[in-house]
Amino acid sequence: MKNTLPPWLAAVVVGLAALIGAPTARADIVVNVDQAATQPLPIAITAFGGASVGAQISSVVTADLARSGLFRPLDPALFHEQPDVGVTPSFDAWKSISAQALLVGSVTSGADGRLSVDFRLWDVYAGDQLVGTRLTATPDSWRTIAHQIADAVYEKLTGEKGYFDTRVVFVAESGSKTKKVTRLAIMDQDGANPSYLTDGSALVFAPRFSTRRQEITYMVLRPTGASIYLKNLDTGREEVLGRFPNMTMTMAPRFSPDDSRVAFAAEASGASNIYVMDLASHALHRLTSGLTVDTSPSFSPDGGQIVFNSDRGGEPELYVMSAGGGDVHRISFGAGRYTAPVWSPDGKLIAFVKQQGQEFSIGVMGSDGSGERILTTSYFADEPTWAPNGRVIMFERKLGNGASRLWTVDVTGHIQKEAPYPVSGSDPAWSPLLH
Amino acid sequence: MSGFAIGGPPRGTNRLPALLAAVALHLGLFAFVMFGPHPAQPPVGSSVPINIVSTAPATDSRPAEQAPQTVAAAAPEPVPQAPPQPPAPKVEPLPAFSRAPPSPPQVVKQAPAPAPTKVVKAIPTPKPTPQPALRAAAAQPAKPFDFNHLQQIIENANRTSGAPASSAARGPARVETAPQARPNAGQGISQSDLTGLSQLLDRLWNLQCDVGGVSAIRPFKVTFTVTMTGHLLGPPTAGGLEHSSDPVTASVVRRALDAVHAVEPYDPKYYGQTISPIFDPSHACNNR
Repeated sequence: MKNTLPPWLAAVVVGLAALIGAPTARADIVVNVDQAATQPLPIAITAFGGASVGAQISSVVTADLARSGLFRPLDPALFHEQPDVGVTPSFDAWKSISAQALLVGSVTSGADGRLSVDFRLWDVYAGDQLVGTRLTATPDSWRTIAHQIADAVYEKLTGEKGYFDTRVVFVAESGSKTKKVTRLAIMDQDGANPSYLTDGSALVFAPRFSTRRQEITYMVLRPTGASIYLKNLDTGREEVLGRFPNMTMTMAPRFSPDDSRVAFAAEASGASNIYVMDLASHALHRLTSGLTVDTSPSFSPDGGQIVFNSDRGGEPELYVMSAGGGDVHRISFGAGRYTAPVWSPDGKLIAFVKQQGQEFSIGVMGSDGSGERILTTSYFADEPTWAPNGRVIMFERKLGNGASRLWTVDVTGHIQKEAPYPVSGSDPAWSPLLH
Repeated sequence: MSGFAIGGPPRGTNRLPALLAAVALHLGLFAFVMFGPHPAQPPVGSSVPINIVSTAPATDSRPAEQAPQTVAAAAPEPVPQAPPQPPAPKVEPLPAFSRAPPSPPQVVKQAPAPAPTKVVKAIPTPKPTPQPALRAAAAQPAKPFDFNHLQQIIENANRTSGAPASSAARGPARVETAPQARPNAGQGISQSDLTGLSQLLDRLWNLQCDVGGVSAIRPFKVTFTVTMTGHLLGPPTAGGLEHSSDPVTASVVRRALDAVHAVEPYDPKYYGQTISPIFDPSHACNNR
């Protein structure tokens, strides 16, 4: 006779056996990390090997990244080695000087005379290659190559698009206060390669870059009246968009995001209103009316709305309306006078100028007017313009002696620098990325 | 029929006499206990005279001289692990240049130079617990079960046993693949140790709060395991967030992974541990 265990008891026996035989599971150690260093990222940028221009390229990259305020290029005197671009670096040596990232590169000249620049960006701690790219261009474009390398490094290490391979068009001022000469000028964002676009025979102002193309609009004021010009910087082709004999002044033209229209303000009979011109047909459409001063229109990136300033409430304030001209509502409610609004490239923020007492500030607010914050305040500041990545704003700052300089400030207000243009300049407008 | 079968008398055997005898034996034992003679109990409250014969000497706290112990042959002492060596040189092509016009030069990843020798704290050798003098098992071969002997077996098993120590030069140590299997690894981690590790990662996490969107990134967990030499067992991971399609998130997570790397070598108390720091960009940026 064979006795058997009941099934439930058998299950208990099997379960106990499994428990006894199971390895002891250990819980992970969990710690919370809710503070951070928030320091500029230390990066080692070696002099690019090969042709002599290699060192110049790496110095431009170094200057770009340092000026952004987000990077701290390390002193090359600390470097233990000059790694070849084709060899994995010795990461321990770079860790020992606290480099978090390492940029190496080399330059070769091809049989056709073109430069080939190979560069690699390394994550020193992880030992990973983050970027490995070759750029080829004519030798006179070495600065462009350098800016594009800086953009690639910036984008990989911050996650944001770069803004170094860009240009700035502005009004260069010279002469005395009574005999001021203004010329339209253009330079790389780092102040290199400045050149004039007009000869100074007429007053020029309010240049604005196209959102997508290397094309600008600007105003010319002659005794006969004001004109809006459109100039293609690649081809040099220039055309007059409109002469407005019935209007004593036209102001602040600005492209729509699709570059098909230009919005501007025009003054007639003591009032200023917002107009939109279709660039293909030159048809003109008035968006605001009345005896108030409406000016400084700026399209939202989706093209659906326009922010502008108006004194319809008594003091200059910021208003938003639909691109067709309706649904006007005020978005600025703080103390002071708000002018020169510009919508950011990502559509989230609106930069503005605010005057309170004897001081002018550059600030930003949400596109609905919320979260206003002042980035910088000085004796005089005006004409903010966004870098294409929406993180940096360039503006004009006037000193006590009347000289104007171009400055940059980031959207946090922490990083503020004078733009590297050595003489007087005003009315800056930042280009889109060139590449 | 399913189930477990147990042994029993053959079918048809008469078990009645044995059963009756067992019942009678138990009944008799019960009656003896209940009604049998009992020793006289002192009445409650009465005193019992005690004669103090002598006063005990004061407790001598000096360590007693240890008698020679008979110690069973113990397993050899575990050999401290050699500092890690880089894996064997491996040649593998790097990804091609992303913009190589004709044909990019083949760039090969060369074997990394041997890392500089680091001073690695020796793995604490488990000290043998002082053993009571073992009874000479050989002298009592008939003893059915010896708890002391069993304890000795268990403790010997707990030690990392191995071949007898050799005077020959040791070869390169291999990367440990299962540090969790080491006994005593990671024991003794206090709350202050964890606070210290958290603060160290705070300092090493270089977060770029000025970049748009960083402060909106939700907390994320990084997981890694520390080897018995204080280094990382494989790359730390953040559940794939390090490869996020959002470049800002990917960048922030990479900085956190860098911080985890930067702590190396980890303190011996973390040897064999799996650690999961939770990084909170929003909190970090708002607290700066």
